[in-house]
Amino acid sequence: MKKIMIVDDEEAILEMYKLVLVNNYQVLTVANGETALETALKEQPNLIYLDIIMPKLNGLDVLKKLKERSETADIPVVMLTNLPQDASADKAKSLGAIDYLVKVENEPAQIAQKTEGYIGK
Amino acid sequence: MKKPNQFFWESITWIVIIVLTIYVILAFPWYKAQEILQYIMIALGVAAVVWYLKSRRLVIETEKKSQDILAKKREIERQHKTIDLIFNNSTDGILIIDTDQKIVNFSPGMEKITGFNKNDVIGLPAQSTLKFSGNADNSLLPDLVFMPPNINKKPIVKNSMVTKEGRAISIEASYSSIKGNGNVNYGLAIIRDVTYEEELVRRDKEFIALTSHQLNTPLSIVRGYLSLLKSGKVGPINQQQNKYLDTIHQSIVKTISLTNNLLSISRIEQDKVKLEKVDLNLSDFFDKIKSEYEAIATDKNVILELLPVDNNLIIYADEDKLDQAIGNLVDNAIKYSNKGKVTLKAESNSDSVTISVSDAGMGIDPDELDKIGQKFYRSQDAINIDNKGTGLGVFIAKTIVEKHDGTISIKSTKGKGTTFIITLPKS
Repeated sequence: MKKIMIVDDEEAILEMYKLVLVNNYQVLTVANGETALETALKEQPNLIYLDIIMPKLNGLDVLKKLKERSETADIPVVMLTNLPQDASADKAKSLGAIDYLVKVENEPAQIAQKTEGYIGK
Repeated sequence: MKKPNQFFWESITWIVIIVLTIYVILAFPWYKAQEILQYIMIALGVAAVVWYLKSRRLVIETEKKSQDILAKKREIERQHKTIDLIFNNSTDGILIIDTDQKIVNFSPGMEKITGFNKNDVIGLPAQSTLKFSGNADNSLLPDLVFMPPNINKKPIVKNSMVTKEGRAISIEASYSSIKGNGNVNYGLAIIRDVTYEEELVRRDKEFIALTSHQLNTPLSIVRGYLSLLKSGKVGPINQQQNKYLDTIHQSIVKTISLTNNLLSISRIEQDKVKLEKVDLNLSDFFDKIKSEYEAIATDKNVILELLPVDNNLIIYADEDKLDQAIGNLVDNAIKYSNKGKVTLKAESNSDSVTISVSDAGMGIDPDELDKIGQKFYRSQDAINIDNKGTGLGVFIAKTIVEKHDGTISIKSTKGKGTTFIITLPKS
């Protein structure tokens, strides 16, 4: 079973996406940026959903560090945030994110569908 | 000593005068002396009257002239006092520089704004002392003061300068040159410190941006869990529960739309919106708009009509932003039409493209026409039809079009319909 890591400081968000993904994937939920780096290194997920505004280390810094380390550089990362596209999408993509999704515009079922598009089942 | 020649001619002159006098005395008709004397007296009398009248007029004229001069002097004094009052009491700073851009006068208002003392800055170069920042076209205020007037010269510039303590402050300045004897002698700038006002505006905008973003997190949670409930993933839902969930879902989507509009405006106003312009095929773009809004139109029995667009008609624009702008106008046109057509049309001009969105709806009252497009403004008729609108759609459309260096105008006939006309440069 493929592994997905969701990084978000809102527990309700983690729970919500986990619910629609857990049948097809092994879902790891992480509540902050620092833990995300450790978990990514250790668990080597097949896909990471990454929030941007988080305490300690924000999502763009996490993305940069993931791409800097050879062990995690190839893991596809999708930003899943409530910051509008034109605020950070360019920067996230230039740092290596494969997509940029706005949470409020994507219901859980759409995230499940997109996940399949990114990594299959 | 007289020369002999001169003496000779003087003697001849005296001899002639004496001979003539003797002749006049001998030939004078002494019997008419009284009559002649009368004439002489009359002539002298007339001359005296004329002289008196003339001198009287001269006195009156002189008096009037001196009164005029006095009045002018008083007026000049009054004006000087007024200018002094303005100069010394205006909270706006008044800066006067000479053609070498050196400071020649510095009002107490300037002293208060900058912290510099007048006596310390008189004669110093204005730019290196007050460190004005460059304007949009990189012109500095002391240069602008002496620039010849042209259509692009803005009457008020917004930029910044540096105080004595080294603090940068935001200023608004109006400026002009002062002419004397046909030549420009001085430059005048009236400077207002707007640092505090700008800070308030910035905080206000940041507050909206932050609030909108913070609202989106709970909204995405509500929307997400609602969709999970509706999907039946967490247990069966009966028909009535499903209907209620639909109602909640619709309200949440509207709230999200409002929040996003507020966020859009906040970002536009903070100038954080970057246009990502591409060559945009208008025919394809119109097809996309139609696919986005056709369902809403059909629900309202409105036909969304696209007039044929030249396949080669291309403009250089940000597709997403233009979609938002034209989409807002199409959405409004459908919303305020009960039936009939909403027509989307594009026309090519030499260096611009005109896009129009027309409806056969209720039209806009002529008194309200110039207010449409102001932030949060909604016409009374619009409120009567749909009281949930925000008055932001046209404002956002207008702002996006203006960011593309385009213009937007409205033609409307009450009861017959409205046309929004957008003109965009081709490149």
